[in-house]
Amino acid sequence: MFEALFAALATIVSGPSIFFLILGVLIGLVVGVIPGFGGTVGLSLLLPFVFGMEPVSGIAMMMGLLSVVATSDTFPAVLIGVPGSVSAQATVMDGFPLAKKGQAARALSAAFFSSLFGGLFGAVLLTMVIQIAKPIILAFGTGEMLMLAIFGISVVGTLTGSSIFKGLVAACLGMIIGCIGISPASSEYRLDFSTILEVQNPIVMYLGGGIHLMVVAISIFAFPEIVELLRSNKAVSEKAELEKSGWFKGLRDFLSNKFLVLRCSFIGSVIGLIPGIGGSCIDWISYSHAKTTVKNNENFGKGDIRGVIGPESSSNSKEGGALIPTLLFGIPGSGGTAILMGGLILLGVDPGITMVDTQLDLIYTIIWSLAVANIFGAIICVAMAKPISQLTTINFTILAPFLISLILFAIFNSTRSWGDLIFATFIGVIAVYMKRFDYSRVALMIGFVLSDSIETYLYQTMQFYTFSELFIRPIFLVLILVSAFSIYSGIKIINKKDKIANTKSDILNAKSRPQWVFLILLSIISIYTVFVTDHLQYLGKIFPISVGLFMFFFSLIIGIQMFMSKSGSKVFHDAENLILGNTEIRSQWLTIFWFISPLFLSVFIGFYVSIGLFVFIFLSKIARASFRFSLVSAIGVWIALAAISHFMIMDFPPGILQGYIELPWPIN
Amino acid sequence: MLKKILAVFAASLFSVTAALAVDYSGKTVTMWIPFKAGGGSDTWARAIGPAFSANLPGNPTVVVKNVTDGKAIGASNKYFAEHGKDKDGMVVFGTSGSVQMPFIFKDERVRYQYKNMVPIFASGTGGVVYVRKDMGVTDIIKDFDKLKGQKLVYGSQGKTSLDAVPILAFDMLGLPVNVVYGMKGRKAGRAAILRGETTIDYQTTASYLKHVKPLVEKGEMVAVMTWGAPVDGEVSRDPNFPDLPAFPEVYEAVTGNKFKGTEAKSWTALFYAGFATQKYVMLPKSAKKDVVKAWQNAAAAIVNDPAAMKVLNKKLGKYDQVTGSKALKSALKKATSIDGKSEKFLQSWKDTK
Repeated sequence: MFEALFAALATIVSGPSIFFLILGVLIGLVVGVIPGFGGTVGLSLLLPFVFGMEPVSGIAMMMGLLSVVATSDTFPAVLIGVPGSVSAQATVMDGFPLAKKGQAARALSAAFFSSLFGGLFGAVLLTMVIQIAKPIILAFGTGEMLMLAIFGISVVGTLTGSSIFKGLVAACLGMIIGCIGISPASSEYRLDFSTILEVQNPIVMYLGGGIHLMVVAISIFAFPEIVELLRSNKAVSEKAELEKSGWFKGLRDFLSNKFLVLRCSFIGSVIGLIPGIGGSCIDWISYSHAKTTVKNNENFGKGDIRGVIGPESSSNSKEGGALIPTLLFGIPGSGGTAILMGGLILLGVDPGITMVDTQLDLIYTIIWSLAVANIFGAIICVAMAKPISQLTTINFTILAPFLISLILFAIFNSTRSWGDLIFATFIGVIAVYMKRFDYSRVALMIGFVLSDSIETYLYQTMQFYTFSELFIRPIFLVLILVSAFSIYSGIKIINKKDKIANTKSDILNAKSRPQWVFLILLSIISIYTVFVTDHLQYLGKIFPISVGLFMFFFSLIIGIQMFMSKSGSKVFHDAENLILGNTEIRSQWLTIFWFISPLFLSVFIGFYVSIGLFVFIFLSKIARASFRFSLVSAIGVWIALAAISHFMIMDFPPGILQGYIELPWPIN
Repeated sequence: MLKKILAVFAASLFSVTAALAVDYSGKTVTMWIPFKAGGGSDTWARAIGPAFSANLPGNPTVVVKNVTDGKAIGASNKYFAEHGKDKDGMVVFGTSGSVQMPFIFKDERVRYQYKNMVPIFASGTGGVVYVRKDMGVTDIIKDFDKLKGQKLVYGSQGKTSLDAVPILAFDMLGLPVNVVYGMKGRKAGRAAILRGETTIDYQTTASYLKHVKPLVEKGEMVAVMTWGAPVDGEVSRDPNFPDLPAFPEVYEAVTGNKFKGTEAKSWTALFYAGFATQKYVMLPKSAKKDVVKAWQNAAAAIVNDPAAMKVLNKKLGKYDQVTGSKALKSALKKATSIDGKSEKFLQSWKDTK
């Protein structure tokens, strides 16, 4: 075994493969940094080149890319509060507040060291268990997957804001958004407005495909943050001078939390190992784990470095775990590994049961590529952390047009449809108010991510097992205990928050009308869900109707609480009061309008033209930059978009103009 | 006489210039794939793309464009809206069973019409049905009653997906199979039978050879039948698995009926659409004659080139490739048109539990 292991290392580091590996790493770093581009997008960019390559070099390049995406996606998460890819959702929670404190470099480097460790942990685990993993994976049946999904939902309690019911309403809303599209058990279209509109209406067609994960993830987190930063017209970092020795401090943070890193890496690779749950909730589980198991967790969500270290260790270790079912059964455990498998097939390496017996050398090549790429990736990222952190000292209004273009582009790339942009805006505006009134956005995200799993596995578990069969399965029982413990910790944390909130409730003396309007809107969504799914088959409607009823019930409780309370009570939390009094603040709707103005423009002149124009107008009029700078920036954005359009074979949404006149590439 | 010679000469001259007119040198031809990158259809397109590039006049760059806007149906509709009247063959359409099935089941979202298409190239596959060893079955025909008495569970993606073929087959055989929906693709179905949650499953030929055959050899699973393969217009034994009976054969042996009538016709239509010729490269009917010719010639050249086929087979597993205008047209017709009676039958079958 060791001989084969080191022979594989030799093939990687000698000869041309190492260059392809580094090439993969570099592309992966760039792809990770751009919000909305994850390993999935990055690998699909490589696929045309992989065909016809020599297998070892091709594997090295793809693995190089896949291994570092979860490392570099931390940059935007920390610096601008936008997850660079799905696996950096939880990093935003504490990473961004740290950047606001002027500690971006510290947060980044701590994240990179954790990520490096996680990646290597995944590689070691992969090496050790690949030959014996079969029974472990097969022990996770649908019942266990259901419990894992329920466990995922149970962490909502530990992550939500001060009101548990607001968190639950948010989680239900997330699940309802997750129900949009084809139902898993009855293959019916749900919540696509087909009851009101004609089926071939573009909106109905779009919703029939379901809403893409990145559309929700970006709009729910990035939209409110950017609106808020724009309003205050300041830099991200509240301190003009960044803290010194950030790099070294990050390493120290990493070392002093080594057991947390180890635990979270373990969680990441074990959940990654099980195909079916997917990587999207691992970060939240380990974030919750970090929060509940460390001492003095009051600062979680306000800039605790451990809130960065936890999810970063697990988000990278899951890749190693997810490779195991991919290589062993040809059943990918994550979005990235799904495309990796397509690439491997193009290379003539078809993963499957016989691979462990006949092509162990290739498996070791994959493992070494994973490990070596992680080391390269982490070194490059750590070196970049400090200079890039300087971005947080620039006035945000200058950065905004670039970020807004980037985000709109990232959203559009989800399914490359107008619908992505429209629904992202819609969810984004809801998210602004959720943030303001303290409805947990994390809860919405978790609800959304797990919606399909819970519905599918609940139904399948009922079909596959009887109760007595289910309750003799040890892993199932263990997961019940784990979920129960998670709910218990959630309640404990909320009670603690209650006490704190009650002592300072007078500060938040808010207007109550906007809150009532928002609550009523949420109840209408819940009632709407119940009514428009009622005509479906039993299996298609039972889940959305239950969720809708629960959501209505929880909103009712909030309503009663609001009715019974004085206006100073914590149910009336309104973040608006915390920033009012600052005279320089811009109006909320004005900034939201700026955000979506390029979309209005696009309707007429097409996305491509409008983005450059938006950058120019925004910079010269609102940010008051020089004419020259604005022009150069706009042209730069146009060139970048043209390059992306060319390499990714992507057409931008056309406007009315393009419908009338034939225009040359890329304006068409 | 002279007139005749001149006419022939003129005609040949004309055809030479016409043939010359199709020249893609320096151009980029797009394959429009209504699926995301990395999936089966995408891999297929990326494998045949370079082969087309090498065989089309002027050797254009062939790129794959994954269109995911509105899923398979929406992306296919979009192709027809944007390129349905193209003449130059610069954007070709790659389809698969998941595009054909909603068409056959008359999904009201479908706006594409196969009769407006010219097929260029088609790939087909077969499917192998297998059960867990503990069913105690070795020969589906001899042990049929034994199989019938077992707890049969099948994990499916949905009744109007490719799974219509197995589910209708089980119905026709009278097998009491509990169909559990919500599987995300055949891979999830395979995982479920490995865990022992389901007991009967099928995989396409390539996937069977790679992932299930080793288990059959180890004695964990037993292969019982194939869907068959099209031979001279009939569904006969799959040449890849000559020892396994094809479904029509099993049907006749088990039920005692001839494989005829509405049910059989409906199943055959589904089989052609989902398996026998499931992946097509197509051009819109508006494409110029010589453009179609150039593409069809390229397709024929690929299939006749053993080296190219060796690469293709290695990447894709054993697929049957169909080329040639006539064969393609009849295959497409089988895969996308069914008679009124069968259509009615499928509509009502779709809604039964």
